[in-house]
Amino acid sequence: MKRIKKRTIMLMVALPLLGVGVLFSLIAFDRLSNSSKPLIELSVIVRDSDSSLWTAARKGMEQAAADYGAELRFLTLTASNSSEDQKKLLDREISNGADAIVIAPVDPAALGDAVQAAASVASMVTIDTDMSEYGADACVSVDNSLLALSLGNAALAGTQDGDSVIVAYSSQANTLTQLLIDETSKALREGDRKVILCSADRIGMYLNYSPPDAIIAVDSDALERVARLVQSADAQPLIYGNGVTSDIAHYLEIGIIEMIAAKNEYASGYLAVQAAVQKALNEKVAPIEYLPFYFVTNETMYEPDYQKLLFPVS
Amino acid sequence: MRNPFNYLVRKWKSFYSRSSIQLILSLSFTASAVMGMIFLGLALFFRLSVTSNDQMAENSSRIMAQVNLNMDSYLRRMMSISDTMYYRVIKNADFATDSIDNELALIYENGGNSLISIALFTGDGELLSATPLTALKDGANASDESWFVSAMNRIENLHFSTPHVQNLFDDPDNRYRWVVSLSRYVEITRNGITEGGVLLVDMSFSGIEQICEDVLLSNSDSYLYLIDGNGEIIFHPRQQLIYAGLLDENNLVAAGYADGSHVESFNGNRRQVSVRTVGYTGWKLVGVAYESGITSYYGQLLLFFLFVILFSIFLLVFLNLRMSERISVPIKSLDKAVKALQAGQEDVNFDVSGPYEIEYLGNSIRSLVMTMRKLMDDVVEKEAQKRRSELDVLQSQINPHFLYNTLDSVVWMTESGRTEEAVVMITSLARFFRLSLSGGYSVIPIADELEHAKYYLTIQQMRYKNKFETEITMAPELKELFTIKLIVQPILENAIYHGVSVGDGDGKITVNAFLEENDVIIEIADNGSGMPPETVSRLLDESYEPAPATEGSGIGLKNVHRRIRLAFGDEYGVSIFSEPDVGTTVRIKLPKLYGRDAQGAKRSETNETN
Repeated sequence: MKRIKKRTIMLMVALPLLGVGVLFSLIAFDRLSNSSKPLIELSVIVRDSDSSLWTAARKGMEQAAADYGAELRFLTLTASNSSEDQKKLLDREISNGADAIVIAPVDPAALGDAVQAAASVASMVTIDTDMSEYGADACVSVDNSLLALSLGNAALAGTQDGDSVIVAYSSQANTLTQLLIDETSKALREGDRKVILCSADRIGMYLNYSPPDAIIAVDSDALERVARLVQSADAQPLIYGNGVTSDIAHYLEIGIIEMIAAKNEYASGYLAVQAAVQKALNEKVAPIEYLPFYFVTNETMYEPDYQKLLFPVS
Repeated sequence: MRNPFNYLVRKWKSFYSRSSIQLILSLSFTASAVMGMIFLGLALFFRLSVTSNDQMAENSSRIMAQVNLNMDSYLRRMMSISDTMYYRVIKNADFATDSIDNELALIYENGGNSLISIALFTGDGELLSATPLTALKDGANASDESWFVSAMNRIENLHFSTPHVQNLFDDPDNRYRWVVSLSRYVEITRNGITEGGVLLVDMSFSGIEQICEDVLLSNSDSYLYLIDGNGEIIFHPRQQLIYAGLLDENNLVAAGYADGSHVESFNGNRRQVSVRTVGYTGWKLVGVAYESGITSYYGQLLLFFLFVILFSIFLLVFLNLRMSERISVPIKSLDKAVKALQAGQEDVNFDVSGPYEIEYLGNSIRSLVMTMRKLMDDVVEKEAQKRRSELDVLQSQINPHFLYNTLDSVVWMTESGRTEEAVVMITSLARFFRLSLSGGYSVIPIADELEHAKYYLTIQQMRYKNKFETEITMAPELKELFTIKLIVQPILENAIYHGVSVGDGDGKITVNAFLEENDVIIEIADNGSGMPPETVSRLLDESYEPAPATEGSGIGLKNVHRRIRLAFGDEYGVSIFSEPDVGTTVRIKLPKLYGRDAQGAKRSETNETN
């Protein structure tokens, strides 16, 4: 009786259940095969309020997110170079369950605790500024010290001993900018140049009353402003700068800007997201070396390689 | 374990012999169906794989052809604009007096979004007319551009450049656009004099992007890119990654491929590469499909088949169990019925429904059992008849000898005038025989049996002239009990003939019936000469055949013993205790019978006829 009962249960319940299970697997087959990779939620926090400055980098990030199956949220600040904003966004994204964070830190010291806390629950990759001492997993950057030194050397080559060189910036709140200012100034001073540190907003005053022999703008925002002011000024100092926008390319083409240092922003964005997602997936992350940077002049800007660098295709 | 095959065969035989018919049916059905399905599934899989492979290749080829067609159409539109410009406008104009700006603007407006600019240059690079941007940048020199040089060098052809940033025209918005330049040598007329010039049509690179991007050839890993004749990438879905040095492409090698399909190994991956040349330009569309993607597709297909087969197996197991149950249940019922029959159950049901053969088998077994039972009943009945006949024969052995002697005594009494004694003897004899008949019953009350003994003793006392005394007693609790008849008289006969009759006249015979534990005991004792033990041991020995001449063979005693054992079993019967010169006691042991329920209780046919 017991055997009959057991067999009946097997026939009437277990086998149909197994059959339904297999049928379900069959129906869900496509979905299963297509969703083999888990979806990673990734947040990118930049240091500017204007996302257009990150257009090329963002395209690289989006490409990497598509390649690695991540959902990307691109976040700008309410005010550029605001550490407080960055900290709030970072905390909010972590509490919202972000698996990975890519951040271009304004001030590592101010963000240290927040980054440390975030790095314990999510993968953390920084752009331009290394925060590995706070637990960040990787940093994607050019060698900023070398870049600043090279800019300084370029200005040294274009000027003579005793010439004045303005080091212009858009904001000193940014640690990266400060590093570039410091390193550039150091190289210039070592070359016996008179160094003036000046916000890009106040360059006009110098151009009118005490025009320098050269200006080094350490960020793209400052470089655009300086070039615009110089174009309308009588004085025509040599302008060197860091960064690429279509306006900067225009000023380079018409000779207002002497030389720019450019890096591949697309590659920078792609590598940052790639590293963050790989880390979130517990995959092996290859060590990231310094990205290369290039000096581009009016004569070389339409060479095929620089043309692609200055005017990203898509 | 020496021969694994034999081992497996033995295992299988052992399993087969231990398994139920339902299990064997289920397993056999399922195994054969699964084998069939696997065979069919694999055949379908391979066939489908081949078909799928062909279809994927065909799809890729069709998609490539479509992209090529779109590209061709796009380029033809540009060429058509260039032709219109040249043959409808430039050829009809004398640039010394005519302006073509309006016609140029009109054609530009009709050109659509993909048209970026149209410009006409003299042979030395001077701009004659352009739209929508009408002025060159300071220092711009068209004659240095590669498209200009190509047009001037090969005047009979139209020339398509690789994508580049158009930097000739002064754009107040500082826009830098990626374009593909279509240039051609044109003849310009000024003051009736014809001279060479170059017509430029700039097409937006995004138009080419739109045609080539998001093209999936055979699987999700496939893509398509566009190169010029030198292998320079014009479009690639990962163009930026390649430019950034984060990705490699085998474009320089692909430039050497002829149109068609090729298999290449690149960065450790095997890839199927389809190449198709775009007309007029020498550009090549290159479709790439990783074999790992195709293998993965086959893997998914195989997995799908496995799922289907697995599901079918479950379904088959379910159905086969149900089917085999329907087939085996009647057989099991039959088996159960036969086992019940073996166990001795009387009312066994052989009515099994099911297939015809099994129903027929059930009917046959039922018929066989009925026949067997009838035969057994016949055997039992014959055995009973035989036993009854034997009993009757044994009983009948008592009567003739006694009757002869008694009647002889009556004759003698009558002749000697002792008529009163003769009357008593005849009366006793009549009652003796009435009790012997007992209405045809072979089982009678113990009281009747003792009364029968009493009449017998009365007759014998008269015959032996009161040479011995008699005493018959019966315990009151025996009043309701029964016994087979005529078991006391033969023993009394022996007691008289071999015991008290040979003595000196002080003989005594006692008959005492009483209950001992649960048995009825009738003891017949005499104080005759007794017997030695060897004689006693021979009296009940069935194997002992006395000599015919010997007096007192003890046949009566043996008959009684045999009858009791035949009727009630070996634990009952007669036992003899005798001592020479002291006497003999015969002890009859019987079961307690409450009525005529013993085997011998039936009226025998013999008695009835009597």
